[in-house]
This record gives sequence, C-alpha cells and structure tokens, in this order.
Amino acid sequence: MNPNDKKSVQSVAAKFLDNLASFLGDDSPSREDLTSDLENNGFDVNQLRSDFRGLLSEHAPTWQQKAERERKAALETLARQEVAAPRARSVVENEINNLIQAMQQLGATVPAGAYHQKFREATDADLESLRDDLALQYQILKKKQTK
Amino acid sequence: MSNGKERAAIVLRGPEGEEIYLRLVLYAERLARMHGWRVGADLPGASSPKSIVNDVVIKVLEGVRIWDESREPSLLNALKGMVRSEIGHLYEKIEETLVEPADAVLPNGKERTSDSFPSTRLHPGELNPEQHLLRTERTKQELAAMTLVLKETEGKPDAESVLLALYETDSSAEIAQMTGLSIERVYSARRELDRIVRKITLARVIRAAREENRP
Repeated sequence: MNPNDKKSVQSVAAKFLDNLASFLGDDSPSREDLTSDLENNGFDVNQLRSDFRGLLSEHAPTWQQKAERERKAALETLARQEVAAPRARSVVENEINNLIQAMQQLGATVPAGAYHQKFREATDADLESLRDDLALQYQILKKKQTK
Repeated sequence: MSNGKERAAIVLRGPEGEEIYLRLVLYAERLARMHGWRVGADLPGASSPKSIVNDVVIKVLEGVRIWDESREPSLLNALKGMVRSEIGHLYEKIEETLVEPADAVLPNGKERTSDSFPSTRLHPGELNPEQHLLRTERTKQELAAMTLVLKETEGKPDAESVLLALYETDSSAEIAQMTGLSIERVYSARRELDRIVRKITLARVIRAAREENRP
C-alpha cells in the first residue's frame, strides 16, 4: 500500500464514522421513538425528565420559583429564631431571677426592679453577661458568709 | 431584547425544552460511543454523556457559554455543537496524556489544555514520533470499528445500503435519494443500525484492532 492509499483509507474510516455518528444523532424520530431509543441506550426517561426539571429549577428558576424559594428560606429563618432565641432568653432570665433570690436570702440588697427593667431592653448577650456577673457576686457573697 | 442566556432559559422552559434535553442526551451517548471506539477509551473520570449535557446546559443558562441565536437559530443544534466540542476535548485530553505528562505547564506559566496540544489537527509531517504513533493507533481503531459495523450489518439489506451511502453523506434525505429507499425505510434502517452500534462494545473494537495488527 502506498502512502497515499494509506491516507485515503484513514480518511475513509474517519469520515464513515463521522457520518455514522451524525446520522444516528439526527433528530427526525418521533417523541415515542426518542423515548424508546433512550431506554434502549439504558436511560430511565422519567429520571431524565425529573433531572431536567431540577436543573431548570436550580439554574433558570421562574419568578414564581424564585419567590417560593425566598419565602421558604424566610420561613425557615423565622422558625429557627422562634425556637432557639426565646427559650435561651427565658432560661437566662430564670437563672438571673434565681441568683437574685439567692443573694437576697444571703442578705444582699439587690435592686431587682432595676434588673427587671433592664431585662426588657437588654440584648441576649447583655442578659448572659448580667447572669455571669451576678453568679460571680453570689459566689463572693457566699464565700464571705462561710468565713 | 433578551440575551442568549435568557432566550435559552425561555426555550428550555417552554414546550420543546424537555424534548431538546432528551435529544441532547441521546446525541451525547451516541457521540461518546463513537469517540470511545476511535480513541480506544471510555470518557475520562466521572464524566458521562448525561453529565456533559448537564454541564453544557448549565453553562448556557448561566451565560458561561453563549447561544448566538442569529448564527444558529436552533437551540438544539447550538447545544449539540457545544456537546460535540466538550466530548472532543475530553478525548483529546486522553490522547494528550498518553504522550505527554499530565501536569505539564507551558513556558508562559499557563496550564496546558487540549487546545495547546492539537495533535489531531496537525498535518502528519508536523507530528512528533509519539503523536504519529498515536494517530496510527487511532486509525487502526477507526478501521476496526468500521469493519465491525459492516460485519454486523451483513444480511440486513436496508441497513447495508444505508451504510454504503454513509461513505458519502450523513443526511437521511440524501441517503434516501442515493439508495432509492423511502425516508421511512431509512429511519427504520437507522434504528437497526443504532441497535447494531450499541452491541459493539469498546472492548470488541480494541480487540479487533489488535487482531488486525497481528502478522
């Protein structure tokens, strides 16, 4: 075989496979044929449809999908805050009240009313800080009493 | 006026969207099979025809790849071109790693990609010995694949006629004209060929190519 023959064999095979790929990938089959072709190639067509919807919803959401997603996110954030924050705050408030009572029992004059006023205005961090201060004062008071 | 990304989203969300996606998956599956035969390898890494289609669709929806409707009015055709390019690049990368270290960096400091190693596009005279060997191997694979398809089609007259026409054209209408078959029979032969092609595994092509090599 001379080099030119070899070259022509190469290009014939390559062109044949190119044409075969293109011919098989032509778009003429009906929708029914398309479904059965996909199934024959091992695809689950319902799964493909679902994947496609998921892909669109994630990367090209409609304004309704965007609005729904934002609404859900807002609701989730709200739910988290409602569950976590009030319980933590009420626990801290309860601890402060217990500490005030315990200090009063040890004879300390604690301006409970003033503290109570602050509860309403204080942030969660302020309340926790107040609880820690009172706990420290209570420990010091207790030590003095036992000496 | 909406841009390519918005237009693609509108078309894909429309009544034809799902069909475009399904056709694209089937196209990628067939194309990957042919490329696999020619290179003698499966798609690399975790890539699959479906994952390639998904990547391409996401890139178009996010504007990373642009659908220029004025140049290609059919979104399906535009997406097919992108899928073809992605699959081609992946297989070129396989060939590249066969003759070059995978982590090579170009003199300008950039990482080498398949674009910087266009061995399949070079004239034979420009190939180095490894690239030349690679191209020869590829041709053997192509010949083996072609021979297997022809062999498997023996005794199926319509499919055989269509195969002969495929040496000249890939158009169903032209094949019908050349062979004298009705377009319905050409479509029917295509389904037959699709079944035949699915039966020809990559392992068979590699084996056939090796057998051709034996003295």
